[in-house]
Amino acid sequence: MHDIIKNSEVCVDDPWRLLTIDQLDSGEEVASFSIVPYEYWKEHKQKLLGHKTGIFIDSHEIPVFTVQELEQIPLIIINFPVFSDGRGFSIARILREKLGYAGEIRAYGQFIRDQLTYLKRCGFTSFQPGYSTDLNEMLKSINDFSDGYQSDSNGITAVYNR
Amino acid sequence: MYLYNDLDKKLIGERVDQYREQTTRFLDGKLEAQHFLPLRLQNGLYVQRHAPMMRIAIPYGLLSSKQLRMLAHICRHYDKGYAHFTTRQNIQINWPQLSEVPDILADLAKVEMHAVQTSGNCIRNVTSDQFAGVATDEIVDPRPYCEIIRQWSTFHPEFAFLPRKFKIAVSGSIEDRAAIRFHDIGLKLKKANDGAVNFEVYVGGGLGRTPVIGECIAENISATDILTYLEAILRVYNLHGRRDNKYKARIKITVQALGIEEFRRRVDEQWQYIRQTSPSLPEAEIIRVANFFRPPAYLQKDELACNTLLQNQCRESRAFSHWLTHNITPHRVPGYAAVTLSMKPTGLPPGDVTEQQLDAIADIADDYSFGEARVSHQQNLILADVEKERLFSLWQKLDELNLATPNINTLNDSICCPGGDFCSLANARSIPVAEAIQRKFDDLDYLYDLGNISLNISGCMNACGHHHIGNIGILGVDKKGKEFFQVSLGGDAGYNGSIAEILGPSFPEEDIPDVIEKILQVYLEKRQENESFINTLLRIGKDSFKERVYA
Ligand code: SF4
Repeated sequence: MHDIIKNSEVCVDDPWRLLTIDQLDSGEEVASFSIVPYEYWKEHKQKLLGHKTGIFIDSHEIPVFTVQELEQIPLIIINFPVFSDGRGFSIARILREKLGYAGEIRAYGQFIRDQLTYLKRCGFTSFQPGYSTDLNEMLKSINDFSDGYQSDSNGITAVYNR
Repeated sequence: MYLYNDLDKKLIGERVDQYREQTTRFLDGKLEAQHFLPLRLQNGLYVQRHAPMMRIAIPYGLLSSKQLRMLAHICRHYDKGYAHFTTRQNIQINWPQLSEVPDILADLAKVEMHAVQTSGNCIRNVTSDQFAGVATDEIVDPRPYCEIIRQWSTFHPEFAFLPRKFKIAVSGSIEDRAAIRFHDIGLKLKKANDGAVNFEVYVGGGLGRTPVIGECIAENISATDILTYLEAILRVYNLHGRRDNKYKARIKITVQALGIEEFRRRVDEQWQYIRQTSPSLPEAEIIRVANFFRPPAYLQKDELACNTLLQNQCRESRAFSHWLTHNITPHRVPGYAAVTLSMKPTGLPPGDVTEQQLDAIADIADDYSFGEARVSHQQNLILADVEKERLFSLWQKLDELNLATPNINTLNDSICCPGGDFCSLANARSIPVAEAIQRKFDDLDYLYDLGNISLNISGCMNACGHHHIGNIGILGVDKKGKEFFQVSLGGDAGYNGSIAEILGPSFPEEDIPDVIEKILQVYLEKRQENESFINTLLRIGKDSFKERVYA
């Protein structure tokens, strides 16, 4: 069990568990609160939909979901293989704004605390660094900005529409 | 000029606090250098040859006298008393202390300035025409749109970690003075028959290692749709731009790899839904922002009487006459003129300005030009609204400040990057080359006889000196550890856009003035009546130039 930041708080003992392709190929069971790679999910979605299964999206993947599918997915994790890879920001906005996804979007991997405020504005609701760090310290950066010029999924209205 | 509202003030203030905290963490060893790097870059701070270099944003080149005074203060207090105007209408200081940068940012915020996104892999400061609002060939004033784009692109949460830097330029006149086809996105404002404002959008232009002329991606994007359209382009780039090779990461490579058709299709696909989920820009907002750029309180003037006066003054002073011919641009309002202050006197680095000059320019701007000045991408300053009757006294003041060199648009008005004297990436020192050329061609009659020629000099292939789009371009190269210079001909920064072609093998520094002289000789011999350098070159081709230079 590990701790994460969720809804702007440190959350201990997150129940979700990441399964790799290797683990899945060697027959590991997809129990409740498992997270599976997007490729695997695509192949097995008939079986997985409706269960507590999260999806892991790597930054180079451009996932395709139907609205009905998204309603049954509780968690989508987006990987940041290096912190400077900004594709995850766009992927999250597409999920939130284009596809209307309402579940949890989690940043995972090498993102840094100084990105939290923008990640949140792009629709991320939880944060799981792929390295050990003090989450209470990290959390301090989440509201570096209290407002913005652009509209976002946290209720900020674009400056030109106020 | 645009004035900050509460939101602008709050966000810029929060940014200063954020960066102060980040700097503290870095200095305390709690923030790794590799993680601090993009944070400091996006606050304008590079680490350069001698010390950190800090680039301060001048949104679309507009400055108030109050801001000029603050820049003077910053040069004095945090630096060595001078600064450098860049080809992107910004200003750089060369000797700030890393630990003092938060204080500099706080000082800038007091006068509604910042250094946000002046560097790093993000959307950079938007640039435009230095004569916006006063040019006689203007179709639509670009400034309100620049301000709207500034706000949209500032702290944009999705686009702070792009594959590479991203530059946008806007032009609204018949002549392109913003080099829009050499930007990642170039926007040309147009007016439809019914008065509606539209944008022609160019994408994938740029200089650097691989110079590319931007291609038209859309001919008519309504002004109210421009932000969603920009967002769509940026999103396609953010998702599909290359991240494996920094030299192939600019959008020009993405556009080339996909082809403009496929790139356009992907942008349209994103745009269709962004338009549905994001509201368009209301007309009322465009008007609200445009109100900040209303014409100042011009006085009624008799244009004819003004011109007669100027003619008489010219008869009295040949030096004034030169200045009037070269440093003055016609104004749309009778009795007014736009004045270019030359930052290119012989012997000083092009674009450099001292703190005393900045203070003095602030006073002069208050006295002569409604308290405003502009920066051009040619690295000069402009006073856009001067009464013609007062040009003579203005000229005298500028002359005392060494800001009246009558060389605008001549060979000696060269664009030049900081080069090896300051920049750690340089192959060669560009400033001494600019100076050697200025010294060689110091005869004004000769210079004027040559007419308009753009000479652009870069110290390495990053092309900050825009050498690809100079009529004559000079590029510093490294030849077995020695500084050499490659000469190219035929660049054009305008709407038609053309990239200069390399003439042949490079030369050692000391040969460059003679090489330029030979090129000019060919032009003077071959030109037809009133033909400009670039037109002669287009007509006769570069071979005769080449033969002479390598004879
Ligand atoms: S062109 Fe090269 S040398 Fe000149 S400023 Fe740019 S990076 Fe430095």
